[in-house]
Amino acid sequence: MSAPEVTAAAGSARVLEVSALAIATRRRRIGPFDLTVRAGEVVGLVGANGSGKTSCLRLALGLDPASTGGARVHGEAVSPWHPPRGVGLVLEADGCYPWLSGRANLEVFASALGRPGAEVDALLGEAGLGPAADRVVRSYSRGMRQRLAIARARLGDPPLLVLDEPTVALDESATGWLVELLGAHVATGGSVLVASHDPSFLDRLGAHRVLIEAGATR
Amino acid sequence: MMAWALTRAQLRRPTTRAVAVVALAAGGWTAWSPGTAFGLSGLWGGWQFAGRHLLDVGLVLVALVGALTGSGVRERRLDEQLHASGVGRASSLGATVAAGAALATVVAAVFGAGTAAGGLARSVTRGGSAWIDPAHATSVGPALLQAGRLGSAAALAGALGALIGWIARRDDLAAGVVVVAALPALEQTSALLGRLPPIIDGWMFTPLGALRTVALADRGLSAPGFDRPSGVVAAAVVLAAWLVLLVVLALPPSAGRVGSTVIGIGSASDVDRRAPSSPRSSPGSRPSPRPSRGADRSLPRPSAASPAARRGLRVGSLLMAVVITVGAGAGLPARMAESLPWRWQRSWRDATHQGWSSTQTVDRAVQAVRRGDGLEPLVASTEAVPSAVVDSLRRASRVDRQPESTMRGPEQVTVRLHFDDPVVSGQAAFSDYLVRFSLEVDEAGRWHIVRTEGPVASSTADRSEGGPR
Repeated sequence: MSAPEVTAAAGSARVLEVSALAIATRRRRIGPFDLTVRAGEVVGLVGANGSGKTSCLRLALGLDPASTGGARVHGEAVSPWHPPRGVGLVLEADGCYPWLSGRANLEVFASALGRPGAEVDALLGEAGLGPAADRVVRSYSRGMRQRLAIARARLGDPPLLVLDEPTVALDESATGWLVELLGAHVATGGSVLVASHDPSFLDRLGAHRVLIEAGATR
Repeated sequence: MMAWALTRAQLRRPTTRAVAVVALAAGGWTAWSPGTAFGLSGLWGGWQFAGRHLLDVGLVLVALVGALTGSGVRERRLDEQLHASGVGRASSLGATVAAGAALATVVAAVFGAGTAAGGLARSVTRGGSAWIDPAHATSVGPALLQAGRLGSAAALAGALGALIGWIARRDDLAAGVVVVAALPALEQTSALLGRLPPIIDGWMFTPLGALRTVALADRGLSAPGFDRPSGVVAAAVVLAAWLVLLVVLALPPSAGRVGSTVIGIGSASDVDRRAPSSPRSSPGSRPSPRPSRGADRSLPRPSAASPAARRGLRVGSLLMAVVITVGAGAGLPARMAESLPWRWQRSWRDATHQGWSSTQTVDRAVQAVRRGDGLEPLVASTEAVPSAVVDSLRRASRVDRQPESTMRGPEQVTVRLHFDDPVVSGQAAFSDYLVRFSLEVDEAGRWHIVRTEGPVASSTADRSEGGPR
């Protein structure tokens, strides 16, 4: 269950490869998507509402089954039956138990992954949630929940971070914190795939932008 | 490890704790309520008397905590977070189901503690309780077997609930589904639903109905001679089929499943609009993310089921299951009908409809005796009700008939005779006596009294005086 190590030099190893990945039915057509994220790279998905950014992320990680195409993470094929390894995910939904504290939420996740809980406090501290670590998440602001989700995604130090609209609930200082965090992650050979409406955020990350247009029939 | 983590998280959930409190209260009330006058009292007796009601009122509760465990993981997308971290959906589902089973077992244990507390409360309450049949006071071995069977049934109910919750994805929907699915197990609702025979018969073919039929083996765990293996096996097959169906619906679609035909195309053109300067990333000479190959490319045939096709498959499967359930209930074979709990069986409902169920016969017999009327149409023979019983029934200040919910079968009905002026016997004064009627059903489906036992003293007039009970 441990995350695979990034052995290739930054800029060369393909961390995520998406090839002609699509959902296509009579009612819904999204894709095909072709995308490559390399080690030490930030790729930003941009596009209008409903264009399929989130769907692209979900397909790439095997959260949704694709009608066609395929995705590989660290060279291994990904599907709903074959989960990727070494990925930290932040979806729009914060995905935490609201009746538990921030620390307990991370401990549950760490325990579910079979990881020691030792890193939980450090991650909470880095996310600026140290003083609120023992408060129930229900009392958190949206921004705090987003920080908690980001902290959780970093459990186990995954080489690839995938974030969906991570700045929606963050204020300016928190956004700056996230930019620094992701920058440090990339500087150590990690990779980031992020869907965002915030062009300045992507600029600050120095992200390659990939424009997703609506998967409409033409 | 994962199951334990999910179990702990749910144990700390206020809703789970509230359900546990309700289970404690329900267990206590079941053992302490007026029906206990015909049951057992004390810590041990309360459990023996009321423990089997875990699969009545308790079924809703154990299934509910299981369902909230399943839906809790899905509604908060923990399964997706875990998937991204390398934990497959099948593993997450397995851990969730295990957590649901564990939580249901906890709630079942709390219910059991409640029955013990209720039995204790009854034993110290004026009026006490009665050991209607010492043979029903089981020894430790059979009682532990009963606890094991009930605990296993509760765990299975929790697992079923977790599967339903997983599929429902939402807490409110999951809770609604399992509550509706478990409601026929309650005494009150089963009596109401019993007015429409296909519904109550068909319930045996639902997941929780089949589970209850299997677990209770028709008439309760400790009632000897009531097992009907053929029906239990049939219910077990139904239960296994439901488990398979629910697991299939809960698992992600297989890659080889063919979906609907692809008609058109999608497009995802991309552009590289990288910022001119980047302080942190160092892409160097890396190529840009590969662009898609145009907007007018036709897709190949799909290799996996489309979401719409999967939804259709799931809805179709569930509809088919409901149709089969109702259809099977409407055309319930006679042998399987005998596997239903006795108060749900058609013969009992028909007798009740005619006014000739065993309890109705006893009620009419008691009224006839107290009015001074004859008993001819109600008894199989003139010796069925001895004169001592007739005399006691006439002299009693009040006569209470045993509630149906406390009867282990329709063949025996007990009534309690209360005397405002205690009957003195030696140094003790007794205020309550029990009379037990034994009945048999004739070919026309009418129940007749064939034998009467009693009256036997039940409780002393004033316990503070230390008289025998």
